[in-house]
Amino acid sequence: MSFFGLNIAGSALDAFQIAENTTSDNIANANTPGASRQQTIFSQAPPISNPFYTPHFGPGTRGEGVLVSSIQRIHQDSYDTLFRGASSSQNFFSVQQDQLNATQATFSEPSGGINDTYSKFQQSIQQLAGSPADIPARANVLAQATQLTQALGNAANSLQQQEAQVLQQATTTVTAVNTILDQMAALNGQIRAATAAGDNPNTYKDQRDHLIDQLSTYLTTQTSIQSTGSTLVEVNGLALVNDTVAYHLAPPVIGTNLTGKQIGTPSLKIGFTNDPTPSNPTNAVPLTGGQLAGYQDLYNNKLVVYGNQLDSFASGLALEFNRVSQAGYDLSGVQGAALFQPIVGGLALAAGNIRVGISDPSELPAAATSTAAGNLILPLNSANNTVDTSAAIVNNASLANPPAAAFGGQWTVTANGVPQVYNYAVTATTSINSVITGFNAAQLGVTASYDVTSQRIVFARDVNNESLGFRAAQQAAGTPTDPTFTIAETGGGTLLTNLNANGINGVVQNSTNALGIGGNGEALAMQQIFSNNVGVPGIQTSAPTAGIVAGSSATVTPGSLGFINVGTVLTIDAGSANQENVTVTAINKILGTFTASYAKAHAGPTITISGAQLRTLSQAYASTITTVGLDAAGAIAGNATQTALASNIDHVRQGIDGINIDEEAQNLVKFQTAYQAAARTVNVLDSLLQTALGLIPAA
Amino acid sequence: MRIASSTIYSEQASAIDNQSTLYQTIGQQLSSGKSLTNPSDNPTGIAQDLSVRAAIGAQNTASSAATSASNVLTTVDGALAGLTSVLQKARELTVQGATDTLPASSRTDIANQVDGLLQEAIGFANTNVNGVYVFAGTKFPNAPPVSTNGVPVSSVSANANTEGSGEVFINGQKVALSTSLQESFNLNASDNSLSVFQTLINLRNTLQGSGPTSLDGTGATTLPAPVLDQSTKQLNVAGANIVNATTLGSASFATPLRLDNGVPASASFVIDGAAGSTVITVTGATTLNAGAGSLVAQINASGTGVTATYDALTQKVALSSSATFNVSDVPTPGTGATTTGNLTAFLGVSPTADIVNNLSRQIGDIDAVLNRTLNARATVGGRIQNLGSTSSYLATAATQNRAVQSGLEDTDIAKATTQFSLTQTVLQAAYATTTRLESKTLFDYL
Repeated sequence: MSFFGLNIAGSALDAFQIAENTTSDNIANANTPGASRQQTIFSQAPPISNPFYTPHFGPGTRGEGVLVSSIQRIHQDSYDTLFRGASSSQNFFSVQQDQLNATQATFSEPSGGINDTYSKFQQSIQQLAGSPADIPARANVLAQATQLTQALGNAANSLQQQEAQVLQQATTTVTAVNTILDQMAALNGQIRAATAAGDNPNTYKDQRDHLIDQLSTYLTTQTSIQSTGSTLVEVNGLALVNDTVAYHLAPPVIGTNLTGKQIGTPSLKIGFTNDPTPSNPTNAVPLTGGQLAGYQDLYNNKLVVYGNQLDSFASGLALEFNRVSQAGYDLSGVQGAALFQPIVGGLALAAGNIRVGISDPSELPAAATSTAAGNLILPLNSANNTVDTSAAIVNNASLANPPAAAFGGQWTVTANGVPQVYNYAVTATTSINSVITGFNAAQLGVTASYDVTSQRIVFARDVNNESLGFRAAQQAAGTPTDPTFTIAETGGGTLLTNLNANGINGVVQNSTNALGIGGNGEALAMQQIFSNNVGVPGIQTSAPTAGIVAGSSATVTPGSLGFINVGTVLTIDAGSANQENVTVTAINKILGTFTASYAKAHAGPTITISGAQLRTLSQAYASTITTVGLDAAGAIAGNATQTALASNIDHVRQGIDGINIDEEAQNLVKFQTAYQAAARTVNVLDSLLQTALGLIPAA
Repeated sequence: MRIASSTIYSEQASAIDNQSTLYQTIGQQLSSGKSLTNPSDNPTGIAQDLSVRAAIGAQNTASSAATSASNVLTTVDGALAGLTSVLQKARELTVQGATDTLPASSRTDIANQVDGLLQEAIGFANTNVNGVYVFAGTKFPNAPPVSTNGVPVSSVSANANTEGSGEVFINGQKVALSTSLQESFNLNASDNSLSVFQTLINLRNTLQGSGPTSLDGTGATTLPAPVLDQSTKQLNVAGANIVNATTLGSASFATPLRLDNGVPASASFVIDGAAGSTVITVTGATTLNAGAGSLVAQINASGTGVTATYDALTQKVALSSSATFNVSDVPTPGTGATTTGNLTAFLGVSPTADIVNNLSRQIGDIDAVLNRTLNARATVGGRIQNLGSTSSYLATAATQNRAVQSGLEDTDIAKATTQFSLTQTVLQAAYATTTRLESKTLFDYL
């Protein structure tokens, strides 16, 4: 019994007070983001041991009370990595979900969007075909076409605004990132100094980890703790914070891709502030997760792509309808103008740059050139006979001018100023039907038919019946679409005479042979476009080449890349024996080239390039909407999954280092009880001491 | 398991958020009736939905077009029915007129009736629907296609082409909204046969008889002299077809041409008309009506005032003049021939006008154009029937597409209602649980 007993109890009082303070701090930070619970670590005070002092008073070694060896921060770093990965992913999808929901609203499908206006445009053409001379029907076509162009323009403008908005949001996010980087650099300094002094900077570490948590919502980070206690933060190998140095990100810019498969295409890039070319960073931050990656992906792979697809749709729409409208005649017998024209001349016609080029309903072309309208073709029957069009024409007595024997010949069919040779052979079994079928299959821009009533063969200008090869030839000749055509017997045959159509031999068929205001040839042709597979994008160009070897991958330089993008399917050398469809695998907008693999050989000096006619305009648009829907659904599902994942990981993490009020209440009672016991011990010891002191006689 | 206090709150908040979102989503689906409101709601079905919506729009338009077209065709059918009545009436009148005992004045009355029928036929040809003349073709559909020449009408002019005046594109098929003038009125026929109008004009003129006649009784209006069509005979052997280029020696002629034995063998006849008399000579190689040397061309060039035409449809040669004329066979002059040919028998002409025979022949003309009209009516009737079935098809297709659209877009009410109730229950439970969890801590018992 000595004063040492009081010391022992005193050490307990000190220790439990510290423990109560720690508990109090835990309770105070129960709702502080990033705060880890702290635990007071007790240890037995070592017995007094000294060579000059023998502590042994009895049968064993007695302790000397309790010590607080440390205040420990309960934290499991491995869960941080898991959580931050999930958090990056969640935030990537979260910004995508928010933005793509807005994008879906832009398209307003399935009700009230471009599809509705396109459908109404189709219906207006259908009505026009029924009443080609009806001014209200014509005005309705122009009104619906205008609605369609406005819907396209609105969608394109909205996409551009969303692109600007994404850029703005990315800029704001970069500012937040830079602020965090500065704070982390400062904390690194404080942690390093405290660690060097032997301190245990629990609170600083909590703050640092919380900042890294926040940073991981913006971009995917990798962290490593240095021996000094400071943390190295990297983004895919590039340092963001190294000790006390923060490497700031520069505000995002719209540069161009300098490498990869889409060189020269616009790209949202984020570089460091020290990048040598800040307007188009060469060492852009490689973003794989977090909000910044979400914005970058939205801009580069979503919004721009949707815009390109919409532009492709608009270009295909304009190319097809303009070809028809320019090949027709209006109510006054004047050649039609292009139905769709660019708002800003000189710029490529695109979703945001398209308007209706005809304002007067009477100028809408609905009629086509047709020999049915003229008198140059005569009934081909002999007197008092009705011709069976499926019967052989050689020696057919029901024909006025039947051929006496089989023969061959050729017609030169000139449409749009481009002569095309059509070789025919009249055999013993050739009928009028087979002549018509064979001629139409040649796709020369003129369609033949048989009018039973007047027993006449009829030829009509038909731009929908033009092969891609013929289109390429027109493009090479540089002649605009034109309503006229000529058919001439140039091979010594007599087929035109046999058909009693010799009157048109070499005679240009023009507005005289349009069926007039009641003619609906072009309205029908426009109606047919809706069900035709057309090139989307609408491309008709050519490229010089020294020759392409079969089975090779070649890069060519067309006059204009237009809306050619990676993945665009093109038809090469249409109409030739080596016609084939190729898929663009890379483009270089700086050099104006694209690369594709060719299965067939293509001789120089040029190849023709057309948009592959694989689907209807409606299908092309639906494909874009499907892409938007899939992207949005993916973002929604990804966000839900990653939110649940991040939440689960966080709960596990919180299970380890989070603060539980009930637990702290127990600690509070536990330490209070212990403190009270120690205090009572002091009281007892003091009583004992007083008793002992009472044995000493008073002086 | 250890759990942080903040986790309890965040878990509850998150669960309530999720349930609230689901509650709101299902509620919106129930109140709007639509479960597909954004492409992301069904990305794989959105393309089909857009396509179905477009198809329904197109089908509705086509259905409406089919109805309008059917209305127009019904009008056309009405006009052709009227024309049929006109021609049947004309036929009856012709039969009446072709009675030997009928006095000339009665024939004049009948002629006046036929003239009325002619006006009716012209009226039917100029039928219009909403300002569009149904038989006008495509060139000038807003103008009457038939105009008359002369008073009384001596001929008609057509301001139309051979197209139907309008057509609709329904279900991939072009449906004409009318028949052409050629088809229904046999105007400008490819075989040069008579039109409805010319048939009626000829009939009226024949009934009118010879000599100037006042139609309206005032003497101011003069009918042209009657056409004396003296051909009564179909030239061909049954089954044979005589065309313009057929030579007179052909075996296709029912009455072979008898040639004299001169060199070359030939036959002649004299035409004695109002403007003069001429001998016409032909050989077996002479064509009936092909080129300047043909029989018909020689008669027309004879300067006698007699006009010859060959009607391939009826296979008859018609001789006509504004006055009476006479035709007789003669030996061929200047060739040493001794026999007389049989050209008048060959052509079936008799030496004097015969109104009864003439009218009898014209019954055939009326029957021919009546057949044309009936054919046109059959065509129109077929089209109306076709449009009816097209309308039914379109209605069925649109209904089916609406069912597809409904399947893609509409909310499954039963399922959604169940989910809504379930979510509501879960949400209430979450509220109650949260309130209780958050209201108690160990500190309450200190």
